[in-house]
Amino acid sequence: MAAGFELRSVSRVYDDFAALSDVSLRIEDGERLAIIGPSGCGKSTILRLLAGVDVPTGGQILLDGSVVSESGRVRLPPHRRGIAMVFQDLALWPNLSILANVKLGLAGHRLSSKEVDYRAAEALALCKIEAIADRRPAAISGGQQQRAALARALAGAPRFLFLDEPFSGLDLVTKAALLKDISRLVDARNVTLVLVTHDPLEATSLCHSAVLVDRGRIETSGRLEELLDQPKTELLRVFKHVMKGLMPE
Amino acid sequence: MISCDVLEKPHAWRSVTVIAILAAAFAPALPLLWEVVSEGSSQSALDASFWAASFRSVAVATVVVAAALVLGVPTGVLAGLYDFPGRRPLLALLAIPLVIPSFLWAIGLSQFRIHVGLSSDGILSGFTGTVLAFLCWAISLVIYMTLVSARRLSKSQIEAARICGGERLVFSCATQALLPAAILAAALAGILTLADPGPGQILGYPGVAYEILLSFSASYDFALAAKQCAGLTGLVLILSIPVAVFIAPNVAVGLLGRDIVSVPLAKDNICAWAASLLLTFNVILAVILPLTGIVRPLFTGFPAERALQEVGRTVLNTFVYGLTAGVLAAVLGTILAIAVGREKTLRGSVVVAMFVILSLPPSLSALGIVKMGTLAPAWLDPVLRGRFTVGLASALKFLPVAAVLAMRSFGSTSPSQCLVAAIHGISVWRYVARILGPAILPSAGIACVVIALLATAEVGTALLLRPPGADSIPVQIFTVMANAPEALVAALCFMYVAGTAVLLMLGWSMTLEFRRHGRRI
Repeated sequence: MAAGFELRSVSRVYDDFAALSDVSLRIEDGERLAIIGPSGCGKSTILRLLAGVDVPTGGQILLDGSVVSESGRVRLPPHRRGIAMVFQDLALWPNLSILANVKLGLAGHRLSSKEVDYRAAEALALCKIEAIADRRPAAISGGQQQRAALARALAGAPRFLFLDEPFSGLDLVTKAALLKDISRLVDARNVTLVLVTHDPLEATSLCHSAVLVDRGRIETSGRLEELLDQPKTELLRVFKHVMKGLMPE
Repeated sequence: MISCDVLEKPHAWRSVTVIAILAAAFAPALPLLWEVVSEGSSQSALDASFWAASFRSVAVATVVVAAALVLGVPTGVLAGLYDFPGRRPLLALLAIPLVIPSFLWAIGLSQFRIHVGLSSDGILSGFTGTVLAFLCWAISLVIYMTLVSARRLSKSQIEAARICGGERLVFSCATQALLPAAILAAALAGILTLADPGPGQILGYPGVAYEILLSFSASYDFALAAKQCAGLTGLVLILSIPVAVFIAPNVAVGLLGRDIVSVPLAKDNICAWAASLLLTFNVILAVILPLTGIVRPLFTGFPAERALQEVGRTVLNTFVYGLTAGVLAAVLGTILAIAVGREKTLRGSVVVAMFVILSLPPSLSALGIVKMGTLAPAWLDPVLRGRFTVGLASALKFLPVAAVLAMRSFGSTSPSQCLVAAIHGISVWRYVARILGPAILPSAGIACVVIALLATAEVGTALLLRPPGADSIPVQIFTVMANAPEALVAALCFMYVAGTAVLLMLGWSMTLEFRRHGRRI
């Protein structure tokens, strides 16, 4: 039995728009996978289906060999999948302090209050934001908000961490520091990482493998290094040029 | 455990809840309409006086709409884009007519006419007087709607227009963008004048709503009142449904909050002066003029003791009617907003239904409840024949105000906040208590205050439904104004306006306080 997620011929149709068509994909434990592709190609839909916050209209999604979602139905709810997710808008709860955000994120784990306090403090320390624990999201910088969202995600010790373009809007220096820290945290906690992005810097900093999605279908997949060495698509060619510091003619 | 993602996913519970609340809102109107439909052929047809009154009402409504647009749109656009000394106090004054019964403004205009020595067939009475009395709050509504919409224009949109063609282009583009909202407000004001009996009766140009009141309260002819009410409802629906269907898509999208950088108020000299002059003119016309008329008799003597006695006798009823309406409407509006969620079709349908509910004549629901009360068993008296009944009927009438505020508030929260809570295993109850509740509570509080004021100001419902001896302050003024001494009526009006202004300031400061803490209303 394969450990990890598997998508089998998954499709998702919204009204008359097919966001995903017949997508098959395997994400194994310990993998660091980037889902890349142009805007509106269905990257985030894959992540939402894996998380269980959206329902496929066709195909099956398996976790450790068991079906967790199938056409029109979510069999295993999101909080039982061992996942944590950082959304593009971070989704920090605005009326709570950062500490309260992290603590409330542990609500589904049925921990003692002592354990909740310990885990929240540990997550804040890991993400280097202990000093701003009592402040509300609106009162901290964009980079600190990213760290807060990450602390909330990691506090529950998830098996899988899903990142849905959470770094857009950050300046390059902050982003580079954050990517380095996330890479360290993911290694330290042995978390399986799935990153949705269209930024080559983010993909190459955090991930080892990648799938390229275009118009709701997987175009190509493999080791990121190999994909960039011999780019088969225009997007991968642009990625390669950007990574070399050159723009294509 | 029910996961909180039910709040963001499509499900049958949404439609069921929405249908249940809308059915409750329309239910009081049904007995009356049923009676008219079932006994239609056996009753005499509506007489000529009804049609003449309808014509007078439509004529007044048409002129009110046109004048409110001409005066209100430029003022609202300029006040929404430019800063000038005295802007806030003038806007605060302009909010008063929105929550004061229109008949008080008519009394004010009538007194002002006497004060300046104009004849009883002059400009401040008859057709023009009635138009002016309705215009007081129609102007305020149009200006406020335009102003609020102007604050939602983005900084970059305005700056782009400014770079291309200066202040003239800014004004022209903003006016074009804000005109639909202004037309909506003016249309609503026009439709609401049809169902308001007060100003026409006081200023000698009685409309169709007064005919209904006369049939029910003076002639005790329930069947005729029911028939007239159904006729008025038909007229209102013919006017309101096309407007509702036309504006629903825009309003449905507008209610979904979007993060924009609001344009800062500019200090361009000419435009700021123009804005200042226009706003001052409108405040004089819609507030100072009638208010002067209201307080004028007080200069010859202030019967404080008698007025306080009357207020003391009616203040509790006023409070009960207002609070019941405010709380019930805020609760129902919040539930409706959560049930509607972000579903486009449901949102559009509810917007249409809300516009129709708001424009229906209050007498339709009130007479319907009277009918229900005559058929219902005695143990239902507290619900159908008590003070609670007045609050309930007003709550259902003003439900749209609470629903729109709550829908706007819910639309301003990010759907991913709920999804991330679902991923973390937070139950729907915990999510509502910790995250969604605090986000929606400010708008529910504001809705409660505003609806309490609107419900108190709406005398038609209280006149028809109040238990014997349970008058509110406006109902007391309405019933004694023809026979009581002028100074006493003036003192009661003054006390009511002053009390309302204080409550309005409370609502205003609540809004500012919430905004200071970064919450959107």
